[in-house]
Amino acid sequence: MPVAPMTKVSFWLLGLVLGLSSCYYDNREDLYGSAGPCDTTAVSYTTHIKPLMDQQCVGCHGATAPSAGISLHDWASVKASVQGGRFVGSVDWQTGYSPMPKGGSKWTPCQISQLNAWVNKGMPQ
Amino acid sequence: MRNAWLSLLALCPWAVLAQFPLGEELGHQSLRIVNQQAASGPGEGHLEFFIQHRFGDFAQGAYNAFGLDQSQIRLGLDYGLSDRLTLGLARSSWGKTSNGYFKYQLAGLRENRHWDLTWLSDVSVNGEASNVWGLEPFYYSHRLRYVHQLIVGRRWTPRFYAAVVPGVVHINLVDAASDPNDLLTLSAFARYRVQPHINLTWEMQNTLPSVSGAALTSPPMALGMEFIEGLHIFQLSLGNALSMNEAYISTANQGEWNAAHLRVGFNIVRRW
Repeated sequence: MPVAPMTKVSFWLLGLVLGLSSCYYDNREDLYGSAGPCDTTAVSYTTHIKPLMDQQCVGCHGATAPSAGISLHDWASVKASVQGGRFVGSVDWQTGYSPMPKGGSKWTPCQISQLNAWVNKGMPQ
Repeated sequence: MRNAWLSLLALCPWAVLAQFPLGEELGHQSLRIVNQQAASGPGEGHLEFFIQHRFGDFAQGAYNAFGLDQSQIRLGLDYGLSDRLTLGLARSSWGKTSNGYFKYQLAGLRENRHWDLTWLSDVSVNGEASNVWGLEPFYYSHRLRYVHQLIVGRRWTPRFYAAVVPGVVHINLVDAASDPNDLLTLSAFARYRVQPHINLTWEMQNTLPSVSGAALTSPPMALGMEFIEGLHIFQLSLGNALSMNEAYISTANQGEWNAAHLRVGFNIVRRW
């Protein structure tokens, strides 16, 4: 018996979806972060903080028309924001602070530790 | 003379409105509520092009025109392979994310039932450059997220339609080892017809905290108003969600529900 065209399409689509599916159960901590203890000894803006900012923050808090008027696009602007007193609480999702990044996951414990270490060392470039 | 009358008739609004399925049930009037997918498709052989736009939040103040200086955009196409089966593609500026999906209406109002039952499967690909992720080595699979939803809708009265949407979001790469890769989600939406061409809409999305880790402190929610004109639908919305993508919206905190963190948005839909 000939197969109806729509049935063929449905089977094709099902195959496509299953074929394209590549489910993984990965996490950053196991794949990248747990090779050793979280390094908080020599944290600098260029090596640790800027990549985080570029990935997590600059999309909304860039140099042009930044969200809430808070720009985080370079060392000086991040430093100013931390000194403003709201930055660490927001990233750490502390009570009373607006959790950041909006629409994104919370930073990993290692990333937050590195941020705190960087702040405690005077936010070196 | 007759042609002239016909031309005039073609210009009158009733003739234009007649092209859009106004007579259809509320559940089928547009494919999206605000961000949430409705149960219906455009119908066999029909194509819908949609533009979704979200401005910045009100907290940006007067200098940034209370958010209007910022915007996120999403463009997409939906095509009805049959009355039941819809294929869609979209691309969001947020996260440079593209997604493709299919939606299959298992049962629905087209069969004069009160209930809609629709399956949605979606795959999203985050398109940000690998160096932005800061991961070495970087794997393509990190970019992928999957969404599966069962949209259960009911027309309660000719003016009121509501649905619940249980679903699961699979995230290939999460941050912490304790974060679940599979998140169970529960969304809901409603549509109320105020006038024949005007509907009020509401939607919200959330994860199920008892099985998916911590509850969201700021789950996304939106109120909307849609205007149906001819083959176009214009949807205005007020909500706290920044993302418009199914794989991201229900799994992450959005702006708090207070005046400062709400944002205006709109969707424009054109159907062929």
